[in-house]
Amino acid sequence: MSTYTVTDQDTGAEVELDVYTRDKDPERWKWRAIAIVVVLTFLLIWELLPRLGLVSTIILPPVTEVWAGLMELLGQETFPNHLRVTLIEMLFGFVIGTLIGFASGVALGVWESVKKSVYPLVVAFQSLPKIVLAPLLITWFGYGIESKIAMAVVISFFPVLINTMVGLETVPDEARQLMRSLRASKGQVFRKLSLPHAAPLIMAGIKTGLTFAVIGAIVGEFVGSSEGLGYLLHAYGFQLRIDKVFAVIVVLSLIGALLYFAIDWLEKRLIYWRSDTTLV
Amino acid sequence: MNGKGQAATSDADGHTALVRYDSVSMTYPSRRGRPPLKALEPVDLSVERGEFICLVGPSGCGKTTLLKITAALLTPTQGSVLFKGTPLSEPNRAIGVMFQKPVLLPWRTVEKNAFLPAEIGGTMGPDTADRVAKVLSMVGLHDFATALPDQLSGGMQQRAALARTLVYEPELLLMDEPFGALDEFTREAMNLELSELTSHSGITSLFVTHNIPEAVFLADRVVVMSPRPGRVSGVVEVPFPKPRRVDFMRDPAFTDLTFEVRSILAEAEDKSRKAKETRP
Repeated sequence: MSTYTVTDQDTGAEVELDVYTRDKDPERWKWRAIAIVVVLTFLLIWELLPRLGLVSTIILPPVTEVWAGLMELLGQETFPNHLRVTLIEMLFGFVIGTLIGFASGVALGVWESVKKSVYPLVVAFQSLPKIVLAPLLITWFGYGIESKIAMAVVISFFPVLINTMVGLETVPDEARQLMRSLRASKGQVFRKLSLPHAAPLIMAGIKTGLTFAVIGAIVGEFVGSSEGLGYLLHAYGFQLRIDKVFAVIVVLSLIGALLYFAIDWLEKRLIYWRSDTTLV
Repeated sequence: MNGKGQAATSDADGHTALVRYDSVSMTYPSRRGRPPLKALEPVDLSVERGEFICLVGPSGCGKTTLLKITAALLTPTQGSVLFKGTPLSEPNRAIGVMFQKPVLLPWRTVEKNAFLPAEIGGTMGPDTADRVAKVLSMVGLHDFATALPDQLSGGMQQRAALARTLVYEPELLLMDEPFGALDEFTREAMNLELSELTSHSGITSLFVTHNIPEAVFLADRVVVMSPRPGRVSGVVEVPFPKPRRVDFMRDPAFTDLTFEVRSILAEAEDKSRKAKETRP
């Protein structure tokens, strides 16, 4: 050990570089290790609380039992159907909601007259807690997947709408003047300036919309359904199969995380420039 | 348009100036209960081909307003601007504009930004790429053609903006304090290059600044404007060969000329203060 220190001190410049690289790595690994330890501690406490009889196993089953419940759930014959139904509801709701949100955001952001006449209604709709619509949508669209798609659409289109509108409206004046001085048509201004300018914000709206679509589909299933992960969650809750409830929650958070990473990946490829730039 | 404007398309010798201002004045309409703002008192001025004109004056003296009127981004309340003998009513592709900010589109590479005018004008041809490459090397950006704007320094960003303006070979170059945000060293270097570039290409330039030495260094004529409402309070000729070199700033005549501009400015300011005091 001490020999290393001596050779290091002989060569002035290299020491600093070494120190720097050696310093950076252990720090990073240290924090990663700490994060893992925190998670493991959390799981350990979860395991021990019911095991030691501090909490009833009915209320909080140990982690190992949740794991067993998850394996059992994944092995169930009916599980793939429940998964499929919920995925369809989420994805259709998300895609339709995004399209509606984008189209109406463009209409509101581009035409002043549309904004003036429609925006108050949009705001009024937004101030409504949309979950209250779930029973109504089920009455209208039935117990099947349609009502859940409708719920996901209703809840997910708004962030896309608002972000699209704001993105299109916040094109800097100087950039507009540049386009005017080049005699750009309205279509060219939209395609070459406003839309790419708004893209980072629209993308952020779409990300939020995705999370909302997941919520919409599950809430719709809670209120009335005969299949889907939200239905399972509800049913297992009534049966006091808390291990299975947790298992469904795990599946749902995995779906949420996967969808989010997928869209994040897409975003990094579409928005390759720094969007906080002050150039435009 | 007034009758006076039409009579004055050409001067006594019968030759046509590139730009001619005929009692151009501008009053911004009242907004939100504030009284209308008189930005520009009638300005008469003509700019000859190949001339480099600098507009100097205190903040709010209407120099930017005059520049925007020349770009047809603003319509004067009275009077008219004749460009090559015909009144300007809408932006003209023979007039290039450079703003205070570079106004580059951050999602486009330097090269693609330079392509923008040709794309918008529908003049993309087989020679466009060559022209862009030539102009980029003229402004010293040939190695940065594929860089994104946010990877460039402030000076390089303005070079890219200059390149975009030069690509379509405008006859008149309008610049609104284009180097105002740059540090002193970069600004000086940019001014040297600008003098070199404009005198070689024979382009006509209108350059707005509030930096007196910069104005004298660049201009054939320095047009000094009075505080708001702006009017031309004096014109200082700078009869020295172009392109200007650094040693021009060491010339005693350079100091004399900056002093002359300064005294006209001081006099105008004095007058406007007295006018305000005597107003009831």
